[in-house]
Amino acid sequence: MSFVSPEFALLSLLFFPVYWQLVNRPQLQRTVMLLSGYGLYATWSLSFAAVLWAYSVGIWALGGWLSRQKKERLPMTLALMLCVSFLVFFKYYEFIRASLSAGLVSLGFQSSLPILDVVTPVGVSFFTFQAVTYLVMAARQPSQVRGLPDVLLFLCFWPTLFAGPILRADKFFAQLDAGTTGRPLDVSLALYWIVLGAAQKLIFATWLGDTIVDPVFKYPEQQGGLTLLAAMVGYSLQIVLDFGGYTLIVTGLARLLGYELPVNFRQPYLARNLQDFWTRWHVSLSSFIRDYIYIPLGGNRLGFTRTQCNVVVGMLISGLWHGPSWTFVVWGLLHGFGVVALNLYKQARGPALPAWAGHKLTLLFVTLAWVFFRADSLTAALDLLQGLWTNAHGFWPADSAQVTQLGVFTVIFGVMCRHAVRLQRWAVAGLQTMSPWTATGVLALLIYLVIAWGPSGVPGFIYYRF
Amino acid sequence: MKVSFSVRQLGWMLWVVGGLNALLWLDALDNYLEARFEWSLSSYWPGDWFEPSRRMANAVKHLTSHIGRHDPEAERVQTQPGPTPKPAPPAMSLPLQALPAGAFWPSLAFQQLTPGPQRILFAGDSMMQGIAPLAIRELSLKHPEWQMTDLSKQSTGLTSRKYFDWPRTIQQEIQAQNLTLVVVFLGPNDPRDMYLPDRRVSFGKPEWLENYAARVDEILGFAVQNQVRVIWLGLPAMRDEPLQRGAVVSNHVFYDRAQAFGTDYLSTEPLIGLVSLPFKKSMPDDHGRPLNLRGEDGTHFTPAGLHKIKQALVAHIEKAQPQ
Repeated sequence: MSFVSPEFALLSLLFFPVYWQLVNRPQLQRTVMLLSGYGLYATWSLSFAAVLWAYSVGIWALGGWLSRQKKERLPMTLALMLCVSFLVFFKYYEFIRASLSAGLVSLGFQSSLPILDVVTPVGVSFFTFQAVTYLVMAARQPSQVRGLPDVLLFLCFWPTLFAGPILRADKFFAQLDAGTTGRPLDVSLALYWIVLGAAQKLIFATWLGDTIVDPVFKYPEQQGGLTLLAAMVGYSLQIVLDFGGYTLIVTGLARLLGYELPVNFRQPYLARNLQDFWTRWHVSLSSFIRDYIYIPLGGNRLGFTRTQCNVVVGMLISGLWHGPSWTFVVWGLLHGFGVVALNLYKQARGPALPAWAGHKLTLLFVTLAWVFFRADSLTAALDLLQGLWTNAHGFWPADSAQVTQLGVFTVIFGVMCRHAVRLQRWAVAGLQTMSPWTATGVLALLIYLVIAWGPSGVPGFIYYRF
Repeated sequence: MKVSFSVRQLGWMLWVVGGLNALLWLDALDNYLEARFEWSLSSYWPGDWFEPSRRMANAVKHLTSHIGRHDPEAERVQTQPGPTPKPAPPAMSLPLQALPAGAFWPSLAFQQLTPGPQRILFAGDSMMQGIAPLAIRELSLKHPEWQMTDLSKQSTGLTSRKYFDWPRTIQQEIQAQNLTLVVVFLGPNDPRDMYLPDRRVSFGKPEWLENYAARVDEILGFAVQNQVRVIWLGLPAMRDEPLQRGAVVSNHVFYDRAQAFGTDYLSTEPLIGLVSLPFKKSMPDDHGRPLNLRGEDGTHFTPAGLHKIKQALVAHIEKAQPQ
């Protein structure tokens, strides 16, 4: 069930008042929260819910076992391998089998790995990484190990279950222990985020996808150079509005439940270099990669060359995390080598670029890399890029209306990014000065307009695939 | 003055916002519920209740068309199709008879394309969304002068006309584009109850089959009347039991109606998996090695599966060209 579907809206109307009524009975409230998480997950597939439950019980048992070990390293490695093998099996088995089979056949051998008929549970990449944070916490701080109900709730916390942000176990349980959960936090801010997120996703990301991006990525050979370029820029905007919109909606919902979620976006397209970009884009994933992969590999403590290797490995894993495809591998490697190039430039004490130049170069690099993220195959991505300069249809399209619309939209988007904090402050303050009836009228009107300008049906979120 | 809403206030605020929007979008909500859950409010409530929301939605649509909001459905040529011809061929014989295990409805190739450049429409649901780009790419390379349009739209079918009306859309496109060929590939969204103006008809009942076949006839009849060729792709095996049952019914209807109208039916079963046999994700390739043809959902296709269907479709079209 999507968070922007009518059925979710209806269930929310029933769920939230009941949930808030239980604020003085926290155990019961958490039980309701847990059941609602499994209920929501089961709307995708009942078997998914059963798999998630079994996996959560396994993680709870592993956490308990880890907390009783005297040595940390070997048991933790074993537990993490078990934890991640679940993800590898469900999400990457077919990719590994097909790649291995193709490789062996090209060498004249046969592959004996069978084709399995398994379905990847929704959100598996997100809850597996959350499970990793729990196991590491259990190994390093045995006193923090939790009971089964808490672990079940942590891994089935529905606002983040399907597409993040990736929760850290210690931060989540700290909120439970502090007793601050269960009643709404910053209601005006939460409502602002939900409406803004819905508008970003339903109006703008969908418009970009339907009119600028999808037709071009589907039929790149029929387009001129400028239209291809517009689709690349359009996708850069679409993905940030889609995933950013999703994150705003779930962060707002979590606040209504009394939980704070980690920050996932800090205006990524204002980044001045690639490293800066990765402190602003999908922060819950990039900080996970930093803390659970890059630093354990040695981080920057083992010399310059080793540091660059660790950067590339971290980015490669970040790319592969998105899906079992060579396009994601290339996307991750591009970013990895991009950061390495930046480090080499700094190492060589190259002159510092003006802020505006750094910003534009970063945007250009990120936009080019998104082509691999969006394309169905490496060939399709390369064909599209090649079409920018070798194109039978020329560069200028016969009808440039859509390109003009995109240009205007991009400028407005850029201005909004720069003033997002001020706009938020202004909107929240405005909402706070309204009477409940006025606020209700304004919210009803805004939601009406979002639906009116949105697409028919319920559009999927890009990150639901991961 | 800074006000913080109490939990009680927030509770009724949500109800009022939700209730108001449900009322203001009642007609759209009804369409959604019917398409998604086979549950129609309009079959229980008076039609007048839906009129204000319908009028308001039309007014907003009209307004947004002036400020540049892209609405592909509104942009489509609004030509009125002529009266639906009475299907001349015999009606479908009911009840359907299940094929024995291992059997399938074979392809039919009755038609020849008209000489000269073709104007082809690819219509269907997410099944066609996978095939159309591949087929169009290959046909464009072979015949750069051909005009091809891909109107495939996911979650559509023939059962729910309120959500998306394929017979009407195809008729409009035939007139607007002066098409020479229509390729149709749809079906997994169809095994569900059908809402007729005055009643609900359960999936699989004789009345459902009659109405489903009548919708196929609307497309084929109009196409034949306008000398437009049609290639209707049959469905392969499906993992989900309801979809598999649907594929059995749909294929029988598609085959029967294509035969009755003298149009083409392209069977995907021998390529991907027989509907009369249990579902399998893979089939052996030319060298006997297993080839994974189906997506994880057991409905859609891997690139290898798409490639096989695309090859068969392109070969079928090439064969139909006048010598």
